[in-house]
Amino acid sequence: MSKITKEQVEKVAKLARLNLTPDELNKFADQLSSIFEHVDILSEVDTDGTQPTSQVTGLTNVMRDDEVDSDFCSKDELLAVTPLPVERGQIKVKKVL
Amino acid sequence: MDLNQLTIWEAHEGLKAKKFSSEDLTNACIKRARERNPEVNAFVEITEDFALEQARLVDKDGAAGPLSGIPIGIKDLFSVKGYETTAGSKILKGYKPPFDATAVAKLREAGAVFLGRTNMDEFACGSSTEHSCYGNTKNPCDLERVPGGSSGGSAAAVADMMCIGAIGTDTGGSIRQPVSLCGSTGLKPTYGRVSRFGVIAMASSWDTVGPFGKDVKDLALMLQVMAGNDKRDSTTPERPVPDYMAALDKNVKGLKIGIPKEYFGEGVEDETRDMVMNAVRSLEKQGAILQEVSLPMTKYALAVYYVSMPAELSANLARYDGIRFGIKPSEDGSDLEEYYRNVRGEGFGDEIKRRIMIGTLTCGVTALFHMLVSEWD
Repeated sequence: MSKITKEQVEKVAKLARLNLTPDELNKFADQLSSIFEHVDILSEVDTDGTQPTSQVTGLTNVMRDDEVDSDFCSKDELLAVTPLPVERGQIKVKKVL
Repeated sequence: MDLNQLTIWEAHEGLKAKKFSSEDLTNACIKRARERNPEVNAFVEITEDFALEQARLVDKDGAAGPLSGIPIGIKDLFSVKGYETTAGSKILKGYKPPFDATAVAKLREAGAVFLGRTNMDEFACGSSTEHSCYGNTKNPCDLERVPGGSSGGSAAAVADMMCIGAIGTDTGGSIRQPVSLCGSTGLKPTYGRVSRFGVIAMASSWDTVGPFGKDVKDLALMLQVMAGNDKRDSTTPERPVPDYMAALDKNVKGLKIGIPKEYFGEGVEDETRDMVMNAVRSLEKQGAILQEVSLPMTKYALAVYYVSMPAELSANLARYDGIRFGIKPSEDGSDLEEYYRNVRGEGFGDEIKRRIMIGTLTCGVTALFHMLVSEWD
């Protein structure tokens, strides 16, 4: 596996919504390359016939009534922790388009 | 002996016999923490007024259960209503949750005294408590060494007698490894035994909540209070919680213990191996049956972890967008996407950025992953 480039890191960072400085781009390109190099040893494992494990509790389809659980805090308390302005019960954000 | 050196059980006996008050006990811990914390940095905040208020309440009503009036440290990952909770991250600076985590609510109900929040690797990502926006925690046994992580603050605070007990979380060793490095005692329970509700998520299919203490009895007492089904966490089975204290009186005669040979291979220091084998032999002397087993896939474990864990982490950390909680970026940017990128670029530390990017590659964007892989090949 060849090295991850600075441009590829830039692409991934954009998708992950992370602003990175030029120094960070260089640093992470090297570091991610060595992490993926290590992960590459998995390609030698034969997983034919191995059952996937997605959970360990054995629980299936745990349902609850479709009701708002408001015992633990109120809508106003939740809105009070935003760093942004609140208008008519909604958080005001930058324009989307 | 100073009060802060007591175990939970000893402190409970003392409180019950009215040898001292919870306020005395709490003050002894606060005094120790104020003396030692500037060097060790196990606590990121000592909530002195809150702790003393809770202690006085217990003194007034009398100590009921074994945790009543006992000062504990709380990893900075557990929501405590009205008190700053940041997961060791700048992105959550100033965030005060409007609710308690279930484990916290149960401890509160049991009368535990909340001494403050303990340091940790940011979002529980790390094994040295060097990745925290509050600076490193030091190992109280030797300040030149790391305390382990990610629950390094809880492990160090208990080992250094700053609190009687503590709580933390374990996803890939974050309780087991720091208690081993600091010389305190900890337990990683079975997944689902303790509710994760209100605990800031790292990798949800592994995250577990567990106790820290000075001995195993302390752990039994704390787990007894925290364990059990919670309607707010659908991964907690409705199984009865056994009496852990009663189990402590049993012996290990006939208990079969597997010793995976791969765990004693390359990279393990002789001294460490000898210490573990001493403990193993002590169990054998008490009647346990030892059996060497082989886990041949052990060498792939870390690589598997580095695919699956960041996938869950990056999905969980997508919620930190500077909108509902936490900080605002210093520059808002021209639109919402730039706002997200600015706040996440400023708010997350290096280790988190690395893992989010790995997770974005391994799970978030399958198409891109294939494109990149074909380019790398």
